[in-house]
Amino acid sequence: MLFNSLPYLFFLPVVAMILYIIPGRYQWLWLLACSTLFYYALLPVFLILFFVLILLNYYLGIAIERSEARRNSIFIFSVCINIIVLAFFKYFGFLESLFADIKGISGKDQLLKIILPVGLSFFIFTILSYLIEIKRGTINAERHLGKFASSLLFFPKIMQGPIEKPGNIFPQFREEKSFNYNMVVNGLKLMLWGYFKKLVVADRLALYVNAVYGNYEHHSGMTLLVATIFYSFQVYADFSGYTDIALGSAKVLGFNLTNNFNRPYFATSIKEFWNRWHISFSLWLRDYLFLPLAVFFTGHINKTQYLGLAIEKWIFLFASMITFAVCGIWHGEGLNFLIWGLLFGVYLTIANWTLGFNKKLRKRFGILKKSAFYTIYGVLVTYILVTFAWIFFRANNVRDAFTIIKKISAFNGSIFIENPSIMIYSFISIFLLLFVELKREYYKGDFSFFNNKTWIVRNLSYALLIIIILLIGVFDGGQFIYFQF
Amino acid sequence: MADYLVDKIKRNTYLLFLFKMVALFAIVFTLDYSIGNILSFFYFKQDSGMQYRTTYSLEKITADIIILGSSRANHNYRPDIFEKRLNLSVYNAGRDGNYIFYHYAILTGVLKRYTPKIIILDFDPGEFSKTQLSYDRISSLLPYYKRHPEIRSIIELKSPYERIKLLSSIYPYNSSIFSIAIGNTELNKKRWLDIKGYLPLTKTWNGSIQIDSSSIDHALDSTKVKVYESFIQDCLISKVKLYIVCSPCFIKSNQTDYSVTLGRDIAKRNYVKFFDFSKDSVLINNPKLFADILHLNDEGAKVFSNILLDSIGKTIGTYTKNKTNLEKN
Repeated sequence: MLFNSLPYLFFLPVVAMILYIIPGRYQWLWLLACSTLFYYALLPVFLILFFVLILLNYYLGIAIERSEARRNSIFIFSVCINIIVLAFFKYFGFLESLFADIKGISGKDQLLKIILPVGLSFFIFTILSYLIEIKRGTINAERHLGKFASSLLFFPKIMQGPIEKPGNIFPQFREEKSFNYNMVVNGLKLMLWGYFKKLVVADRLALYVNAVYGNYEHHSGMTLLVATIFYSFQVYADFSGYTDIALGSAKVLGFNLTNNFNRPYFATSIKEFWNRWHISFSLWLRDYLFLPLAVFFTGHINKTQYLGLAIEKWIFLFASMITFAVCGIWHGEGLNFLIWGLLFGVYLTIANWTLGFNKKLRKRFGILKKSAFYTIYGVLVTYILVTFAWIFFRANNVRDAFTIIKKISAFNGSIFIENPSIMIYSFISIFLLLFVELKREYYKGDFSFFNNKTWIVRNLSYALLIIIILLIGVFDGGQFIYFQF
Repeated sequence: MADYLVDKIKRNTYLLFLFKMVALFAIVFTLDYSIGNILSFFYFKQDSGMQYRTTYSLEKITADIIILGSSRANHNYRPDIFEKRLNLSVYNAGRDGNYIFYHYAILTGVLKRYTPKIIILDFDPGEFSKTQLSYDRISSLLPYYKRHPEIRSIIELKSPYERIKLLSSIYPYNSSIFSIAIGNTELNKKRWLDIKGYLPLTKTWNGSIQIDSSSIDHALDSTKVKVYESFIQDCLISKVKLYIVCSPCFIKSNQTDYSVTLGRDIAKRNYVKFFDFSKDSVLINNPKLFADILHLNDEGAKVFSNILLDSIGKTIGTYTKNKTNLEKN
């Protein structure tokens, strides 16, 4: 079942109504049944895999906690087994097709056609987080298999996260859920905004982006530039829209999930961008990869300087590059995803290495960090760097990405407008998105449509948003981009 | 009493929530109904453009010959040539980006009003392939759901939830607000000047012929096959002379298109003439007759219409033999 399908709009209220009627001790069972049904409607075959992984990790978690002598080896074994499963489903097809290409075998002759079960990456990363936290001793292993399964398969987050920390999600499954008016209303508001982002912005922009990137060789540099800018909004509206629906659905059921996006295109630096973009994943990478790597390097390098630079700078470089390489590979199997990740590693390293220089420069020209000029400059530069990286993310391969960059840098040709109304709707959707986000970012306390104190203004605003979705939303086709991850 | 009720609702959060949801739905319903009806009024008030041509095809057409199909029908068949050589009135009802569902809907709408003498159905290679897109494109028929009960079953093929979605008055006009607005202006007539439904393409294809050596196995869509069979049956029952034509493409393929083979077999079984010009050497050796690999330009449409008439005209009483442009050349 997809969030943007009609059955989901009937499914969620039924789940919520029954959840609030049944006794607290059976609520996990109801949610588990609903989550199973939700996933069953999408990819029934892979439910077996998910249940096997749940069972395996349930016992491994307890074993890590209980065992003193073999704690490390059980932990390493459990991490490896999860990574192997993920790698098999994520990269086997890629490696096999690569092998087939080398051998000159056609696609039809390949032994196995492996597809990645939707949500497996998010599922495994949540499990890894659970195992690491047990190993660190910050949480206890979950003893209730049913609640363990229910929290891992929880349908609002199963397909695209957020990647919940066990300390946040498991305790919520131990509480009895009762109807909370404010939470349900806030959840519905969030869902409505998510649907707007997905149907009006993301799917609309996708029409142009797909048409251009699908035939990039036939388009001018200007057209590719417009498509790339559109893509930057598409990917954001798609993923954050999905997350809003997920978070909103969870709220309707009385659960609080981690906020995954905080208006990332208003970030004034790449570091801030990653604090606002896919937050649960950024935190995962920071806590379980970047920081352990930095600690490891610090502990194993005795020098204080290398090639005239402080050793911390080198450690930052290596830890960032490894972290973002993993980030890139996690997002996709092609080399273009690796380059996309590494680009962010490079951006962050340059920012880190020039920190002192930037400070001096600001001091010399008397520019305050909180000044409007510096904010606008920071937002623009960050946006340009991020959008440049999106080219590698969206292109089919590295060669295509470089050709697109070459064409864009020529900065010529006319803009492809096959259907003017698609362009008009695209600009309207971007304008509406930016208008609301700009207001939320910089004018928080001022007049609000959706949280207005007057009942009629508030309700008219919701109604108008629904009408806009009906008028210019895209209802046909279109899956969430992040499905491939 | 009223105060008592308000107080009771305020205290009970369930009731409060339900009350507010009902109020919100009432606002949404009112807005949806009002805006939907305004859009409907202006949609059917259009007198030019693609949407108008669909309305005209379903509701006003009276021509002796109707040409049905996708953009390939719309740009490849010139009504003036047919009219001149057959002495019969012709309307080209082809519409860009549509599939057998749309063609069948138009046929159903037409047959409800009158019986044309001849129907020419342009058959696309790959017509029977299973693609979601072909179902998505049924959306061009959504505005007619309420007005034309005879085509409802075809519209409902779009998705299992179409009936529910169509409870909204705005939904049939989704993403059409600008085209409706422009369709009500004079500008649209200048922009899309059609000649009895036919839209000429003026470009000339500069590229080389596309070689299609792919061996992609498209799954066969049994629903499309059934609709195609119904199309033929309805014509036979109504005693309309039906010609099914696969018009030329600027593509050289080593494979025989499975849809074309099946389409021809079904036509043959029903004693309906099926003409395959997709690999016609006269046309595909002449790139100047094409606007792109899938469509003929105006000159190409003229040549092709004459070639087609040379093939089918003999079976039509009013046929006048004429030298085709190519013969003249």
